[in-house]
Amino acid sequence: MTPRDPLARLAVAFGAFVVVTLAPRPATSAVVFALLLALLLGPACVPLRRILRGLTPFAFFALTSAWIYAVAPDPTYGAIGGTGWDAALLVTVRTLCVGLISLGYVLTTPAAGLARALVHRAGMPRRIVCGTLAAVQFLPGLAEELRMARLVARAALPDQDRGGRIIVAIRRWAAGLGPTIIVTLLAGAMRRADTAAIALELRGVAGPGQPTPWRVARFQRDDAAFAVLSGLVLAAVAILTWR
Amino acid sequence: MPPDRALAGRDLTVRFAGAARAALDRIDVDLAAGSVLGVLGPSGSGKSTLIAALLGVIPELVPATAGGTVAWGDGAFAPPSLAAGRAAAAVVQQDPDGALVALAVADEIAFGLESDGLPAAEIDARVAAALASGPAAGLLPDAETLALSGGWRQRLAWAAALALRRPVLLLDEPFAHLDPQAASVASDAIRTARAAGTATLLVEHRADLVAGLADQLLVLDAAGRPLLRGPAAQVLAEAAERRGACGLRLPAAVLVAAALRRAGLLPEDAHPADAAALIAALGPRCQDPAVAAVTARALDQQPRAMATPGPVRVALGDATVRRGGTTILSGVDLTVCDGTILGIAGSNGAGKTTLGLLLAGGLRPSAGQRCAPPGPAPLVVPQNPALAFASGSLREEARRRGVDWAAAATRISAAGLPADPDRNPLRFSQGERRRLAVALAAAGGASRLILLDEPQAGLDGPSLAALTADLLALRRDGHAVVVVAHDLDWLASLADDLAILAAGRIALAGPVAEVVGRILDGTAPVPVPPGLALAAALGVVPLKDAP
Repeated sequence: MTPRDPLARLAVAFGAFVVVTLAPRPATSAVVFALLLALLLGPACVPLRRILRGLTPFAFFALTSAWIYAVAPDPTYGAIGGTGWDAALLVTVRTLCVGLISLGYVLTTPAAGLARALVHRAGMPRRIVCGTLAAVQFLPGLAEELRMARLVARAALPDQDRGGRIIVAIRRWAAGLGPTIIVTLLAGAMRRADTAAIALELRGVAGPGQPTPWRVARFQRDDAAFAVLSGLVLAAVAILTWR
Repeated sequence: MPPDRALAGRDLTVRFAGAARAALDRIDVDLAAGSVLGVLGPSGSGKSTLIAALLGVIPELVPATAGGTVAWGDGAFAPPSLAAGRAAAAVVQQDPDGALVALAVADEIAFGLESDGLPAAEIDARVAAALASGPAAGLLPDAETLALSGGWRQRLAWAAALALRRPVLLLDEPFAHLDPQAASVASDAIRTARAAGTATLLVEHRADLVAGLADQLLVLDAAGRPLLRGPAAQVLAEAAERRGACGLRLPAAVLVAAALRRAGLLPEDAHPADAAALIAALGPRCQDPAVAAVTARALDQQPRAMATPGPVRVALGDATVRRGGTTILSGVDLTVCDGTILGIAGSNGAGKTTLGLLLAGGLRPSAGQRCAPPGPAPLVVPQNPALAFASGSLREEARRRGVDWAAAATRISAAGLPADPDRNPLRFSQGERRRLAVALAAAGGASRLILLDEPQAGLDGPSLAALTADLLALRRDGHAVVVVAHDLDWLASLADDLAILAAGRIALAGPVAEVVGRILDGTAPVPVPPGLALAAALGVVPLKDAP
């Protein structure tokens, strides 16, 4: 079974989001997390290191949120199935699970395929979908600019060997992380956004004609089987863990 | 109307809000099918603005007051419109970082074809053809565009434009990020398109690249007005006679021909635009010592004062740099002394920038050694010069670098920039920021080691001459200067030592005369640059140091 339709996969991911978000006990999220992790490490062949790196921001958010729930005397963020350490555990597992579902979708779904499916099958405006896709390209560019700025700043550190090993290491790590770099990166991002917007228009992103549905993935038998099986698994997990 | 007209523009004028003068002032453009029109001019002369005005990008996407009319093919003259421009022309934009719109190579090429509504089978065929030959040959269809180097991204932008098979091709500094080999492939693509009847408008700083391609040239002045217009060889000869007044970086053959004409060694009516034409025009006089002497002066290949190397500023011993499991540099042995200029050259992705940053101390070797005596921090001017500034005003930036403001202001003014102490460095244009960074370096300060990464990119003739003078002044003052650049002709005229990188290793390094000799022998892994080739053909022994 090789599901290829990005919209079918998106529907399954949304289904998983709903189950995990509504589940009142951490066990539901934990089971979904474990199943998905096994799928990613096994059939999808995603390296564990890549998964851990992708989960880092979710882990940060999960732990800071959990801490708020754990120590807050009267959390007012809504009824999530209790307060204190129970709520903290639920929030942590749920956030990590939502992160893994998102990450799994991104790592196993070609972005261009999703974009074409959204335009040609879901009827979303091409300008919005392709504009978002073009914007994704800015991120590595910004990361590279930040890296270069930090290398330049490291070269400019006054005396690179003064202050002991740890101090030198801290100074080198922190070099180039000042507020000026934010302005520089922002200016670069705006320049890129202008260029990308013009590039999209010049290449007819919203031209008068109907764009060709080229290499658009269709909903096929494997996608149907994947959707049904995933639905059944999610339902089983929900029933077994909610009680 | 000429029967083969592909594009014509009349009285094209653009004025940006708040600007003291028009960016483009009453420009006429005529482009015939199967011809190439080169547009040259100094920085800020409105070359890129001309393309934007023809396409209707100004004022439809970029707000400005625009005037004039455009006719595509045999259509009537009308105010420029984005819809008409898009239908008639394919464009290669100046900045490949923002100009790619898809995440995979095949998707990038197919994007415009999908927009055109071509049948899927035709799109498949054109994508396959684009990847089989031309600038993007060798790229895999599923390769991620995000993982491509700047040079390959520009090559992909070329392929995507050519695949559209529009009657007009508009190219905005399309060679800016290409190494000499890639530039040669791109030049061939223009010739192929011309043979197929495509009309090409080529905006470029480097007249040497345009000279061999363009049938006609239009030179704009600094105020966005037409300065020279006509057949390429004639216009270049006229520009050479004006000696820098046009603000162009002229081809070596044109400079030499002008000097030879002035010396009475070439007929007044001989206007060769490239080396082959010049050699043919000279005939048996090629071996004349007088021709060699004039050529040496014209190309700045005269015997010059030998560098007097000071103490070692930085040395690398068997240095290796790895990143994310990939070896970027390996086994590098290199020494830079005070009072010398080291030039680093090599193809796209060879590791030039990494080597520069390793020398400057921004990177530490994963293996091997970097030795530098204790002292003030080096100064780095990266490819994106905005990253070199860390202060909100020029005065503050000078203070941060330990430079007296009066000295800094003198240098900034000499570089042709306003020395306003309160002005934010980021408010200068890209080319101006580079000149600003070099001017601040030249003003003194504590740094003894100065690294510049592609400082010549995008500079017009006078700016390049000013930069060269500044770097030689730094060398004279005892600084150790490292310059990373694609332009071997320029590096050879500037540096004391050259290092040629290939695939992360130093393929060739040594005194400039020795390395140039190997390049001319054809035993170096780089093509012979046109200036050196011409010098050798006319009997100049390049770069022989005077005692």
